[in-house]
Amino acid sequence: MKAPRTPRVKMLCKTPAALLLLSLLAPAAARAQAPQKRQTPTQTAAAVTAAATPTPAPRGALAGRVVGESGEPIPEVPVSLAPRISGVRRGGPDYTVAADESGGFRFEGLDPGLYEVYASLPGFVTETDVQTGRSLGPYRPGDNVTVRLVKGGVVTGTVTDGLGQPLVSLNVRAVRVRDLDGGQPAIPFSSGGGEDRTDDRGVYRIYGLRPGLYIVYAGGYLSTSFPFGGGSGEVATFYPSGTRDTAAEVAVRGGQESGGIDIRLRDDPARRITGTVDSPTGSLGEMGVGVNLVYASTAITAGAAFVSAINPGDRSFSFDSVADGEYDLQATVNGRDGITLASAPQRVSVRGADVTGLRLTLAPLASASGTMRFEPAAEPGRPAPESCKAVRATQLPQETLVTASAAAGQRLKPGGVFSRTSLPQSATPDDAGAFNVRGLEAGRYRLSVRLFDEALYVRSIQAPAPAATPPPRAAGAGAQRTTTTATAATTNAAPRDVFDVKAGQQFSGLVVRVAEGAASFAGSVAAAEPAAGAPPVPLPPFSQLRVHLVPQERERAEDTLHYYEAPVASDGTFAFKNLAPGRYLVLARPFVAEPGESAPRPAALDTAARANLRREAESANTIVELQPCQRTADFVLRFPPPAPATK
Amino acid sequence: MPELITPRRRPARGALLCAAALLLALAPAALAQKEAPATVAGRVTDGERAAPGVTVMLIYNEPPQRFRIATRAKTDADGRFLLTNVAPGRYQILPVAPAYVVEGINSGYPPGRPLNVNAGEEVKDIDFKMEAGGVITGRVTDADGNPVVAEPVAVAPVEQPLGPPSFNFDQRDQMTDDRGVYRLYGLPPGSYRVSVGRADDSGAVSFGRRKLFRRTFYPDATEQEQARVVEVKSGIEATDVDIKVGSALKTYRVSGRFVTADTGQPVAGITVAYGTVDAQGRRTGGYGGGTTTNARGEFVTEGLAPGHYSVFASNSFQQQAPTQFYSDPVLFEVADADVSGLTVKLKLGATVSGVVTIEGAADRAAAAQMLSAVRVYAFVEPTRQRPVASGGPTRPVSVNPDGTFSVTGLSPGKLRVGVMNETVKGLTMARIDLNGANVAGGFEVSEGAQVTGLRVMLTLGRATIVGQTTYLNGAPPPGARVMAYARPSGAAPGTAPTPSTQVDARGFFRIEGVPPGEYDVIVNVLIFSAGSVRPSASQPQHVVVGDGGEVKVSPVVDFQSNPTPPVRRREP
Repeated sequence: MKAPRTPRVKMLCKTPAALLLLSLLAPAAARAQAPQKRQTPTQTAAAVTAAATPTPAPRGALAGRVVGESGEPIPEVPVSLAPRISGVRRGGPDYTVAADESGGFRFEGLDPGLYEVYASLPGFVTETDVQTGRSLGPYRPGDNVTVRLVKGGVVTGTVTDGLGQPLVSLNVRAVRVRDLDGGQPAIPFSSGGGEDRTDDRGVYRIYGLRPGLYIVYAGGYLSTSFPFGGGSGEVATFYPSGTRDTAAEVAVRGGQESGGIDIRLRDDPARRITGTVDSPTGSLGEMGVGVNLVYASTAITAGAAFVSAINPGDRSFSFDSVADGEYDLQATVNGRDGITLASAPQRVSVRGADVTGLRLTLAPLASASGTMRFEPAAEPGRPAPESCKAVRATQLPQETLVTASAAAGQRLKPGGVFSRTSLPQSATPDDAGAFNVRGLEAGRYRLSVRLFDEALYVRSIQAPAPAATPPPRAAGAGAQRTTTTATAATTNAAPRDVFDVKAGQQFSGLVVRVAEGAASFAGSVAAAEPAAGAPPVPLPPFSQLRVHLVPQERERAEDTLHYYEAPVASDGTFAFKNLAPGRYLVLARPFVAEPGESAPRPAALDTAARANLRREAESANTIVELQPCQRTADFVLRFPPPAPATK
Repeated sequence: MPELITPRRRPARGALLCAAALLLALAPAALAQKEAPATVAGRVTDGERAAPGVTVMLIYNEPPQRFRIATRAKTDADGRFLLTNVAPGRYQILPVAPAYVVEGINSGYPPGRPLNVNAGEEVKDIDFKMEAGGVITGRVTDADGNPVVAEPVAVAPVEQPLGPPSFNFDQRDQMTDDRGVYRLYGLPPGSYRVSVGRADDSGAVSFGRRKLFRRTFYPDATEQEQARVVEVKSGIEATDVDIKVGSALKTYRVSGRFVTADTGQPVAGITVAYGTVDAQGRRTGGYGGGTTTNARGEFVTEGLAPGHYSVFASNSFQQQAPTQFYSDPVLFEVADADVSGLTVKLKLGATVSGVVTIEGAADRAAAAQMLSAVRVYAFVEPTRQRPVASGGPTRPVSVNPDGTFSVTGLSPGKLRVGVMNETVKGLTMARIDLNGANVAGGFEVSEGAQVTGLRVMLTLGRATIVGQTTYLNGAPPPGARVMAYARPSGAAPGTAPTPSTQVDARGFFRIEGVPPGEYDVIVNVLIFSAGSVRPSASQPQHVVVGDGGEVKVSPVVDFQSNPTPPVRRREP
């Protein structure tokens, strides 16, 4: 059975009749997609909102192919589509088609918005973005999607007890903790894994694993419920024969088998952790509360319990078969759009005895809302720049992604308590541009926007000045059309994309200005021209380089929103999209990631690093001027950069 | 005041134990004695030899901790185990040995054998005989020689036994791996047919995800008669039982819309369900589904195999939102092409609302607490006019703290209402009334009706009927199912709720949560043997149960006397 969806009533026709009439008369856009009619923007909030509302777009299609590792088509694979509403993928796909004999598929009748696409073939995994580890989507109607499936790896071995006897029908789990090159996602969320039960010889085989480094464990909470197998009730043992701290990481490669991953179940005493969940608001969500026990400072599950909303009389939870050690504990309530209530994560030490009487108090999470405004490339009274004539953006706020992430970065401090509510949260605006990012714990956040239309760029992100923040709204409504205040609308205030949110606060008043006329800039990194007679300078591996665009004007030194950086692909190419037009210093330079980190924090976000970057960029002095809608594809960027001219 | 039945005869072996139990009941019941922990001891043997190092598990068989591990112990070198600190109650006991065939234990749920333990007992001789199961392993490939991955493998004995299946594992766990390899273990000796794929008459609705194959038996037969039979012997591996399937079944897409019957407007958010039917439209199997219609009332489902189906609006899935509508099912056939344009008409369903009360609760607050654990469900009985019931019982709805509830989206017909709860012990439905009339047998609901005034009266029973059965002229063989019932005296079978419980191998049982009243206690033995099901039952014994406390009974089952038909039963 597929998971059901909630009803989603979408009212497409908010436009007054007059606008509708105008839209019929307006010339069709260059895009093959739906023609959109835009109004000249005015300064008042209401008019801006109305102007941003497009006439309803005809439903679009998403088409693509499923291919294998070498690009060969894979036929007849089920391909599923899930709309990304409010940034969170609902449980269960909405729509599944079978790819045809040449691996092609097509979804039709789609409303504007962002969608995740994935194919399922047992034993295979969908390729993800190398840098972020996330899926390659989301996609918009009109996109052409290539879903690449790669063969998963296999982990297999035998589980025995202390006497060497095989343990039968015992659950074994493999959890991915790192990339093969040792890089770790900044957020210690496990990025995949699998499970299997041992057979009569004690042999397990977990297949279809994404390449990476894994830890493997058996017993513990995996074996405390029906059906019961050997080793039920024993504490978890990590390969090869110990605790989480002594766990060995197993390298798993696509299409290869990592065998001999044998586990000898240890005989340490099993403890219990018990407690109750409190909800001062009285709510336990629609289904209930998930109580999660993880190994300290990781996202690796040591216990999972559930307090049902259906029988709210009993709010107790308990974890059995817990070994001595350190754990992090948190209760969360999942709504349809993400976590709505959560307890403060806490560290639990188990040392020689059961831990009882814990109390987890649920509190509502905060949210951050605002509006996204679209501004055309043309100023009122002035025609669009020459370079933009052929390029027209369609203003579809629901095809952008607004993300709130911790301003200090995602890295969990060593020994820090893991919190499921510390992850970045995203939302897609509605068709009027209103967005609401939910599920935020208290803290300082930075808002970022991901645009999928090449013609758009983020002109500014403005959080209301703390004094002018409107009081929190009583009802957590979705669309907030009139939150923009006069303070937020003034453009001469310094752009502020960082804001503070208190516990449970419904922060509002964020304004994101998106403009047409973005530039794109792409090219490749090449070795610097050697001085006459000198040997050529070798390039470091491309994976160790990043390309930076720094606003050239001194006055824009602190304009972090318009510092851009991109990785260099294995063939030396780089690409930037959605750039604000202007003058930039271009620089390629090596980066140093934290040990075990797969991608560095953007240099622009840290004051000292930004100053360093600027110095180097000014010294290299390679300037490009990007006109609105300019598409540069073949820029050659030399590394190392030329030394500053000496007198 | 509880009345004790003096047993007339019983085997000498149990005499001392029963006398002790009687004495305990006669003495002023000190709380400590009532709750005194018991011990359970026994032996596990593998053929003639002892089976050391086997974990024996005791699992709760009653709310609120049902099926959680209570305690466990390992057998020593002589195969003996001792479970200590066992609180009185109802349990299941099982040795954990999935690669073995354990006598009298199968993959039925709950796992293991029932064991009912009384306060302070030293339960002995809980013995288990087991023998190593056999293994069947092989590889499943398709017509091109590629492995068939993640495909469930089914194994069926050639001689179909009556009664519950005797496998110690869950067949759904047996799937091929990435090499197409499967391994079935713990099989009782015998002759088997091994197959993968979907039988034409399987009655299963499957869609979406994986390739479907026509049911194919080892080695490559689509007809059961051509299957090669595999012989399984204890402790022996039957290898290379390879299955070659043909091409995957072509599956098709089904799409359509849900609209209101009167205005033809599309309706969003309807949960779509499918059922399998025969050519005449009668339901042949289960139902499945769960997608919801979009803003235009449309739905699309991929991956339906050729066959006859019905599609309708569901009101039954646990996770769906309650709905106002019901629909008559629309029948369609998937032959060799996609099916589109199905239009399912929605009508406003009937609503039944009422109040649940609990008699016997200590106070209002306690009653409210218990009510929060109760859920009400309803289902419409299928009739000749509406042979395909729309999906089965409605999704259970919660009851408000004041006891009120409301069930919506009901189709017209004869409605039966029931309650369920998983956590409160001893809550039984005493009576269900609609405006004064007893409607335990159901009541008619017309289309779109708003029925109010339903009263569901639950009573909280606190008494326990503790029984020890005597078997004469025989004993229940392993695998027999023995149940004890407390039928309210004077009520015709099937009209009043009858608390019941399972009797363990020693003949002990505990019927808990019995409301005050007069009952006839009967023990019923169902024996599944080749060729017939032979029930044997005890003569009813009359007891008077008060508010709380324990009442002892000692039914006698004489395997030579005439059997009596079983009572309609309901678990408390």
